Amino acid sequence: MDMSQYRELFISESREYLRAFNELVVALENDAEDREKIDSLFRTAHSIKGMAASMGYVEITDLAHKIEDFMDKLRKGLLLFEPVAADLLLEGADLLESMVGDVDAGVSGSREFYHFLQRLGDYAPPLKNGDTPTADAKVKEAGREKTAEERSEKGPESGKSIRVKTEVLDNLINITGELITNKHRLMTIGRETGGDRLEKALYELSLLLRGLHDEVLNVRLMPFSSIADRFTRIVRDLARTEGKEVTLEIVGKEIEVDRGILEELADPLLHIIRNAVDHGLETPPERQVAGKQPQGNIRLSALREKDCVVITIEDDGKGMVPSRLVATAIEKGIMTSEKARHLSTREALLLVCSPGFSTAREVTDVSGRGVGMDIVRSTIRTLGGTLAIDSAVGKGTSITLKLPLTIAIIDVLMVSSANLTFAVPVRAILRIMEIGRHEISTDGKNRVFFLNEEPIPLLSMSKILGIVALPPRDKIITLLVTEVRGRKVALVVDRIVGHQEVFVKPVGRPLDRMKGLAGGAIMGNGEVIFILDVANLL
Amino acid sequence: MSNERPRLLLFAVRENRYALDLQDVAEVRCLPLTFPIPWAPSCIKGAMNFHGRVVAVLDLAMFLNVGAMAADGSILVLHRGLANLAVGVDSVGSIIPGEYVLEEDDSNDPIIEKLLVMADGEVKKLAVEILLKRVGEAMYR
Repeated sequence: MDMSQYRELFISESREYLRAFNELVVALENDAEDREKIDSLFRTAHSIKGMAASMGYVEITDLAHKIEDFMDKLRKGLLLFEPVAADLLLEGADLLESMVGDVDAGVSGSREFYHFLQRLGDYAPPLKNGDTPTADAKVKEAGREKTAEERSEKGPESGKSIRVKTEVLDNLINITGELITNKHRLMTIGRETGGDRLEKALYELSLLLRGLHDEVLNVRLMPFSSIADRFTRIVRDLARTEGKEVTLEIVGKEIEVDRGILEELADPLLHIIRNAVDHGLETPPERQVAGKQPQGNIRLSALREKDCVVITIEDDGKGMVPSRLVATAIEKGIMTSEKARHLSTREALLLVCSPGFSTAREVTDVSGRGVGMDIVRSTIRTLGGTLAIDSAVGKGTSITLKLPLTIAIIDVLMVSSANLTFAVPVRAILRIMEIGRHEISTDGKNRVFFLNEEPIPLLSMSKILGIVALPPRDKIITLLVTEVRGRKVALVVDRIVGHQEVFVKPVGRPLDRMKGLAGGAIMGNGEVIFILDVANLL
Repeated sequence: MSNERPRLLLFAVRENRYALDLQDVAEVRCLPLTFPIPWAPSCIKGAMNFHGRVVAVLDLAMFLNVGAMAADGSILVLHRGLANLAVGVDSVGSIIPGEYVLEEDDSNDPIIEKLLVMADGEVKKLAVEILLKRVGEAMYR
């Protein structure tokens, strides 16, 4: 039988199991008595062994079998789950991960795991009372084993779900996007030629497309856990290296986000979390001096907010001192002292995201690439999101990322300035307003208007776009209130042209060098329109 | 394995003849309707809808500082693997087998990969990667 067609399935399922395995081991370190987790860990090893055996991957089968044996002894109470056991199991998971990687890369070379097996075999911490498990306990365990093995046969997914290649999902969203573009094209023709029947048919087509779009988006959604689970193990390893005690709490694992966004988000989140362990949290003695528990805490949470997902990374460490950040920025030539004087606390904290601010020590090696907070912010912006930082000295730091749920098909507001029509994502607009010229006042060099008593600076879109503004037509001006670098601003435009759902086309090389462009879109009449990346306009 | 040299697409910008590897070009067509791109430098004529893709149109003459391309010029749309870019030229000549090149000389200008000597004169072969890098630099904001 040709098993090659099942290879990809084996790789993806094994990786899923290994991710769960890592998470369970770290959880057991905190509560070694959790029988349910010990059972799950056993089942996970058993499943990996079964899948590898059916594919004929002898080495993976052997190693998983030995780990399964080890787990069996733990769950039967023949061995105690101590930190060394966790280290051994995580090392085993790493070995298995490398072997699965070899299968993925088509490498046939063998991995050396003899010494690992020897250490696994040598592991024998004394039982608490020197007792052996009772006959009764053994009977109960045997019963549990049967149930566990029965459950393990079902695998991670059973019932009415199937696995679909990610390329198929990408194609689906692209085709749906093109259908939406074509719908607008038909609507344009319909408006030009008229006809009730065409209009009715187009209305029905619109409803069907809306349904298709929603369903396609649904199948592309992945739970936040698909990237968040890996951080438990990373935090554990990093804390140990740094001599710190750290607990990572993950909230909102079930929140679903477009897989395109999740994939891009993994490295920035890893950097922020590593930063929190490295630089945010104190060592146990430092925490004790500060009157805190020796164990530091990081909370990674995801929650849905309208059509956005908000991800927050909070630590209860030493926090950041804004004045110190400002001094560093001046020292490094990132900002003049004159400019620094006008910074708000939030803006001062965001200085850590300035290119050149991070020292080499603060740049994390993520997947072989140097990642600093500047790269984190630019990735978040590229995804159409925002980043905000709050920090209190001695209490900790909180970094909030606000991201769209999807990036492929979005609602935009089409606006024009000096005969140039462009699109602004609706999610980036806080308010659309019309104000009289008499409502404008000046604040130093800035023109401002007051919104709920808050002065909002006015920025001319023509000026931002570098085009010649048209002379004002009337006494009313149109504004889009938005947020740039954590500060509310009002963009002055000539006219609101309309609102539309568009399929965002990546602009690709060389237009991707232009800061401020989030993508392009093709309108119903074939016109190309550009979508502005509001957070990167200035 | 074939030892055939890649075919070349010849075109003209002002009084100079240029060439690109034919395999780098997806399509040749008349200068289309273009739409403005915010912040684009003047050598970018705008963006076009190319079979549903957003493709920037470069005025090669303007980019090379030799004036502006002819109003009735053509565009060479580069393969999508290379870039979302079409190169606007004054006129498109013929497609010739690589064997027609009698001699290849080095050029002092990095944007010219080779100076090709042919029976009917000299042709400058564009270094596509360097061209794209320089256009990217011109776009940088």
